[in-house]
Amino acid sequence: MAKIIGETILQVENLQTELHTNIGVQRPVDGVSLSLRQGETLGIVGESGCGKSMTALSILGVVPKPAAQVVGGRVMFNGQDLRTFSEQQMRRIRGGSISMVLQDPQTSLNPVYTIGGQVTEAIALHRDVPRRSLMSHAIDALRQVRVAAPEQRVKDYPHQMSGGMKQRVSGAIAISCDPHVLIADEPTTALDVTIQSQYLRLLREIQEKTGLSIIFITHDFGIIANMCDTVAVMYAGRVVESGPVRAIFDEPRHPYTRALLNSVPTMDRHVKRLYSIPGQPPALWDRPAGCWYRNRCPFAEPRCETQYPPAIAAKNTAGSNHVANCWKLEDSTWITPKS
Amino acid sequence: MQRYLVYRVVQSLVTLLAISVIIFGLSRLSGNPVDALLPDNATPQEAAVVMHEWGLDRPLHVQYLAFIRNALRGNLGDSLKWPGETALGMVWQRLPATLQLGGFAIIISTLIAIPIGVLAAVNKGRLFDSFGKMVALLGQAVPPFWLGIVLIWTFSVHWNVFPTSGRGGFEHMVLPAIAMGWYQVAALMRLTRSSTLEVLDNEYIKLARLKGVPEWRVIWVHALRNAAIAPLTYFGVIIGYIFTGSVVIETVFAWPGTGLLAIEAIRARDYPVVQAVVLTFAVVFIIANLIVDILYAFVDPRIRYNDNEQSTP
Amino acid sequence: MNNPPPEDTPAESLGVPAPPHLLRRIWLNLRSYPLLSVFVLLVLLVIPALTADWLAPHDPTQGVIMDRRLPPVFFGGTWEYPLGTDRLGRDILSRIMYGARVSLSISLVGIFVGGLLGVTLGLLAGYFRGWIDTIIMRLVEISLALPAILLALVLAAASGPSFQTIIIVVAFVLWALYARQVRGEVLSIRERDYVARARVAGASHFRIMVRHILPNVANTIIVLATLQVGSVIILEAALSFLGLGIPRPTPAWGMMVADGRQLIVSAWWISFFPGLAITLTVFSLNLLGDWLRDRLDPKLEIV
Repeated sequence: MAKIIGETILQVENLQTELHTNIGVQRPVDGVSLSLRQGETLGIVGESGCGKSMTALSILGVVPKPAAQVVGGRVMFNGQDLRTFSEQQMRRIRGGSISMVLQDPQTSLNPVYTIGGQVTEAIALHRDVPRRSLMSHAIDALRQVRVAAPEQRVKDYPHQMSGGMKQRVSGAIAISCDPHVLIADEPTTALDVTIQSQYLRLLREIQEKTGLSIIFITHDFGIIANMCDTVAVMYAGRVVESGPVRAIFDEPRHPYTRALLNSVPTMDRHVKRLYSIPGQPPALWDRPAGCWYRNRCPFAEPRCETQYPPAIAAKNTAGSNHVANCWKLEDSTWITPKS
Repeated sequence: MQRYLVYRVVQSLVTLLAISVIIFGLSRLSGNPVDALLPDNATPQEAAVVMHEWGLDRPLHVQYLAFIRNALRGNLGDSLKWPGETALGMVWQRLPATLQLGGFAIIISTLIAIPIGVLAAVNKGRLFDSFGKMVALLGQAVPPFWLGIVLIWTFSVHWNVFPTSGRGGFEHMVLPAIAMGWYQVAALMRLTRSSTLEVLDNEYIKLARLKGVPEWRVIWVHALRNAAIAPLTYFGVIIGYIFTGSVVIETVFAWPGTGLLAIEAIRARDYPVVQAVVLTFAVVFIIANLIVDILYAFVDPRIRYNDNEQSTP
Repeated sequence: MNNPPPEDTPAESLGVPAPPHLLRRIWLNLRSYPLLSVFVLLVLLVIPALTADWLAPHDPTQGVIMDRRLPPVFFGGTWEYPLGTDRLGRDILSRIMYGARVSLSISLVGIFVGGLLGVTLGLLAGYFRGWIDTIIMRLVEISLALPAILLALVLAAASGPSFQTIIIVVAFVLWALYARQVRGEVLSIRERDYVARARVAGASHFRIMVRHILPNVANTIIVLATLQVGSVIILEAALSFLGLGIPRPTPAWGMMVADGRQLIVSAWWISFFPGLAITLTVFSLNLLGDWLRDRLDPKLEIV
């Protein structure tokens, strides 16, 4: 079924978040720009610690305080900059227009309250629903995420449910207030493979039904191929390449994207050995001059050591708006070769 | 849940039994209790008669069984100092005063300690947190009996706001309750702070914020109920401290409770009364701990196995 | 979608954290440099305890009848009796110095006895597990269920107050905490490779426990002991306040507070200074214990 993709709904521009630690000020999110259209699924991919989750939390303004703080950039949502919103206005956005599903279902539900209580809380906060019918709305939301016998399960506590079931409940909380955007932060990483695919199918169905836009954070290119329309590859707190999913897969322009793709074992490609990217990403407090990937990059040139590369548009077959931050793209036909 | 309860009840009974052995053993092994009953110049024959009368010439295990049998009937002997009173009767007369003061002290110290502990955790590393740590360190450093004296000197002698001693209206309770609860405030505050810190780190707190839950509600509804579990188990210990504290505080404030009774009985070498006080304290303490454990199961649904109630945040 | 290179941010917006508030700085200094605690402890506790015989200006037990209830030096008194005298004309400063000896010796001996017992039983329980563990842990539960002062009451009532009685009470209160903590750690340490290696090499149980396991719980024991000196001093003071402590005429801080209790209207200093000595000593000890815990065993949480 073809998805209908509409206007841009969320545009993140040059978002910057600082983290104050014992060893100094770090920037886990350092100038991230993203854009998401209605009904579209955007994948954010990268190694762990590259700032994917922090980006999501920064969009919603719930970075861990007081250590972390969003310090720059804009988050345009339906034409308004969320960064200028007051805490009270933001609360209406969170869980209302933009909701989020977290990674670990085991810990993301409050152990001392019932499932029903936790779903109704979100509804009571964001929807104008009479108190009496709160529970029936919660049951509806649970039914939407395919929780069996939701009338009974609302009385359960999280510890009485399986991990996959809990993640569905998180999903129910997230969609219970008809959000425009759902941010899913590695929602399936902690689940078994079969449960994983069920969950992904569920997300796609909900998207087709409601026209929801999804930001899908993952480090799994298999899921990206399965779920996403566009992809943003993050490295050390910045987006290094973004574009339509096919373009990224078939013609990756950034050496880092290629390296990530190489490290995915697939059935149709004969991989002699599992590839891993040599070296470590730069420490957040010790960024090198020039391109931050150059120490691990097989194509590094002298100029990579002096100047961080700008975003350069790629000419390609699959479509426009494919860009990557790499000097190699000055040759617009450059495609990172398989090594 | 049922199994858990049965286990806890059995465990409490075993503890109680062990305490009765300790109390009985101490009373028999350290000095002959008959000495207290006899005049100093009593002959061995007179002593033997009294020994026989009290059953002290029988083997120890027989004596212990008799002691238990009597104790179960509520008979812990007669007071030596207060003629015509039974030891247990004396304790029962004095117990309400101790429970009143102790209960009041627990309530104020909880009302002070929990909010300070939560706020210290929320403001970790900031000024309020340092203030809280100072309160905790000072609280655990000031001896309660001296605090009581300083309070009397300041508020009763110098400013004449509260009475110096004795039991009476509400104003009589204020100073002793502060002196008694001060240490608990420190301990409870530290505990609340550390458990709140742990809870605030959880994903479900993040999720609550992501749901758009207002910050006050995140802390006082979502976090507090989880954070309260650790301090709640500590309440069993607090109740123990309150009883032992009552011995000191009631002495300072001449509060006519069981603590003061114990000291009076010791000075008079009235062993049956001392024994009755200690046994009563132990029983109350064990029952209180049992209740705490049951409460604990109600706060934390993971312990409750078969439950039908629901709770909403 | 385009990814412009992020603009270079001027350095001043990099958000250098504001300098901590004055009170917080004082606090941080207190915590990170235990020198002040050590100094207070030396001046109040250790030096007087060791040198009271030579340094104390007066006899702690013999009063001067003419000099009863003299106020401290800045409250109308003289340097002859810097902290005043009690109702028998005894010098309070000298008595506090001798009292330090009681506090120090009881806390050290009591913690040593209780610690030795607790560590031994905790080691045995954690190492052998099985029925030994069950019995020892049940004893721990019972001991924790019996409030300390009550035991002191029974003992004092049965055999009269003495140094030994107090040591028994202190040891009884403390052993269970050590046993529980040590057992928990031994349970995990005994699974480690070097213990298995020692066992394979044919080391005896005793040798494994003493050479391989004990050193690994040493930090916990040290921190626990330091944190407890303070509470033992308070316990001893409470006992001697109730007349269940060291028998007279040996001066003890708690007893001195009790002596002045009836006289707070006319001679507040008799109670005040010994109590202040207890507070400052215990405060410094707790500060030092916290500092040690942060250094040696940050996970340890005891109330």
